[in-house]
Amino acid sequence: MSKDYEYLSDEELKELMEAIEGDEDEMVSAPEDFEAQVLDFIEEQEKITQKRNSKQVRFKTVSGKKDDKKAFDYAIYCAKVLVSVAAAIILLIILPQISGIAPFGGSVPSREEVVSTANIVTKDEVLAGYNTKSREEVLNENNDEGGLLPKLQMIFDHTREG
Amino acid sequence: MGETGSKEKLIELMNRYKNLVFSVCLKLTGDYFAAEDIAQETFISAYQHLNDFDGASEKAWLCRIASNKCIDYLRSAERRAVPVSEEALLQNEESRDGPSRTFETRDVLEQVRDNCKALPDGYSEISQMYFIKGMTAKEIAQVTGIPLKTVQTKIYRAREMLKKTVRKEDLLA
Repeated sequence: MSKDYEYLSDEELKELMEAIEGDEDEMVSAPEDFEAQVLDFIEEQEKITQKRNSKQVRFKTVSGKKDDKKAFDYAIYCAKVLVSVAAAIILLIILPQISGIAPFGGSVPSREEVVSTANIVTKDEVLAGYNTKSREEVLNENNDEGGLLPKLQMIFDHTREG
Repeated sequence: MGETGSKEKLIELMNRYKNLVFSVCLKLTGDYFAAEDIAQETFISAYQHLNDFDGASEKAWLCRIASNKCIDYLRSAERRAVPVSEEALLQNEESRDGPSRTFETRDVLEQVRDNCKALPDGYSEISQMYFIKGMTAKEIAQVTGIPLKTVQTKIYRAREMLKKTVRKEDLLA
């Protein structure tokens, strides 16, 4: 940067102003539309600024509405979940207290009570009811009637030949 | 200060100091159209910072803004300048008058007058009346008998042509 172009000191500026004001030739009239141009520019700038601001405000409002709606929906969802959980807990606590609805007339019988009331038949009692033959008895019966083994032997022979 | 109040203050400042500010700019830049632009920027800047003004001396405040803007303009113009040969550079350095170098207003106006004369027919006369004699568009319309709108258009076009001519001369200087 050139050192020649340094800002004027207060003294230099004062001298310059006095030189211009003191000499009619130095004082030049500004163009006729000078003021109009300045005011037009300022109004134009203000319009642009206003438009920009109103756009920002509009954008904020729209996005704000969207956010509000989302928050509202979420709050409703949370409320539904809370009510459901509370209802479930209340049912779990209250239902056993209500005798009419609770199973076994409201009182839960112990295992011994249930066992004592049930008519349970033991394995030996069940088996005693059947006429079960032993292996030897069955084989002896078959031998007496012509024999089961020879019959089976005949079936095997036929199958091989076929 | 309210917006309307600020504008009224700005109009008041322009009425009182526009010629002084324009003359300061003309003297510092030596370019009629650059001076016009900078003077306008000065008042715009003043309007934007009216609330910061301490109220000491409006005239000194405006001239300070204007002179600083002129120096900024000269610095940027120097940066934009096309590089020339070393010899020319040295010559240029020697011929500098220093930081407070100013232009002769008469010379600047003479240059504008010459450029106005060089404009095509229909623009030359109107531009001389407007830029040199300081007549308003309305007065020119009354004197020449040309419709006001046509005069305004011609002034606008002449201004654009003169700007180009002055800038070209500055570059070639």
